[in-house]
Amino acid sequence: MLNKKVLPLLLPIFILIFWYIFTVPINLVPSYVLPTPLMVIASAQQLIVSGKLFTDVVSTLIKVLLGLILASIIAIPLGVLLGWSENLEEMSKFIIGILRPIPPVAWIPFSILWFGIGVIPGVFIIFMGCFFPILIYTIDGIKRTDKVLIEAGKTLGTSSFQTITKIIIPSSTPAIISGLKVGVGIALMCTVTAEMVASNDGLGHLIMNSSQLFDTGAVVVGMLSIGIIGLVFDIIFKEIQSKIFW
Amino acid sequence: MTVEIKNLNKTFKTNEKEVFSLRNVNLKIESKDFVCLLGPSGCGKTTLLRLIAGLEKIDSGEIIKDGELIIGPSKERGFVFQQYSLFPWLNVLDNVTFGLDIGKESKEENIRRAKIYLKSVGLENTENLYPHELSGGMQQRVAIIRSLVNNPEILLMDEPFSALDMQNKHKLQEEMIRIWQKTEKTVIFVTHDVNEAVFLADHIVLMGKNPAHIKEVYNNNLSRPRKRNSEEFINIQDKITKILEN
Repeated sequence: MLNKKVLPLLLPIFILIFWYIFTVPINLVPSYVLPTPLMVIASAQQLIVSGKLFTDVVSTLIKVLLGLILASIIAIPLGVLLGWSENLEEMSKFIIGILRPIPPVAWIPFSILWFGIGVIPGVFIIFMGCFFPILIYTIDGIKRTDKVLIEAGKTLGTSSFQTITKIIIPSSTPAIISGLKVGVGIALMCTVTAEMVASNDGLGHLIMNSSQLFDTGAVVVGMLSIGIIGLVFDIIFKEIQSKIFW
Repeated sequence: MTVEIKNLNKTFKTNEKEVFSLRNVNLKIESKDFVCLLGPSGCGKTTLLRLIAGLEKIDSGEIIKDGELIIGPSKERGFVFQQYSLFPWLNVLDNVTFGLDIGKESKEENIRRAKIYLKSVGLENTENLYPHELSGGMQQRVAIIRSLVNNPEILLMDEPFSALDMQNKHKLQEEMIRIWQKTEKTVIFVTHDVNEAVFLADHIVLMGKNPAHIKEVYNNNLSRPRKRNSEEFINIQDKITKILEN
């Protein structure tokens, strides 16, 4: 029997073997179209030794975390407010409805005009990208608080303010965490896109820059790094969720 | 302590969304009474209990407790819900101290009190468990303790044992009597189960529907401890069933 530790590795190993066979012995396509696994390893080695990969990963991570934290600071309290007050939610429905479907990358022109090139335009794009999922999940979590829990609190003596802080917010935590998880995924995509056009570092810049130099090996290294970061975030969130979901 | 209900009228919906109304309800409940509100679905027994709790608004008439109008929920009127109402993000101990913790007392004192109460119903080993790890019967025991530890003047109970199997139900009923005798609380207990009402209550408020109203208050003088298979018990049960069916 194959156990669960081995099973997820099977497919990547198969892909690696096929990739090797097609690019090295058969040599179906030239290396600037698809690099060989060996070229990727060589690029990775070079990027690690020079420290470039590390600085790019750090740069991307800082932007992701900064954008995510800023979005959370505003979206979570706002979500609590909108979820709590039907009038405020009704008031903001229209504006949220229009702003939400705008893809975060559509903000790139303004992010460059307003913030130039560097860290801040990236953070801005990420902010725009993960603000709405966090907001919507928070509103939803607040609104779906079990009525019986609120009533139980009131008969135990909670004030209106305590009802929010001691019951409604804790009961919405799983929904808020789900919002953050969705937010991280979007943030990662936004960062890389933003870095491709408005940055001098980061994994998006690494991919774009390497592709212009026909260094396809480095392109793959950049792509895989993003994938691994996403996977790590996913594992972290799953761990948090398994601790707080009931 | 007395609760007086005067000329009360209230339109309400049942779970099936049918609309009923309580008409011209008058009732007086004295200190240390164990009162059951008994009747079929749609007779307004739960609505009446929720009105006393202050969880619903009165259409007309008044409910007065010790000379003061009841206008909203308060910790002096503890409530045990039919549905499970423990806070799922708190363990048993934190659930029980919830009402105390929002007050001014010290945390150590609250824990000390909670532990005495938990021990009195044999739940001292569940302190660190979360609600989803408890059986239905245990959850309702904790919910009762959570209300009692707050030292309410009245304990309002809305079919708290209806989801339990017969054996557990009988066990909790016996425990309830023990708690009531020891703490000398006033208890108002809603049920549709004649056997439960005869076992528990001194005064059984028999209610009918269309419109929802009080038929009569039956004074149950059966001595305690009550035996369900005694002739007197069965006679009273039959008598009440007849009045209800009438």
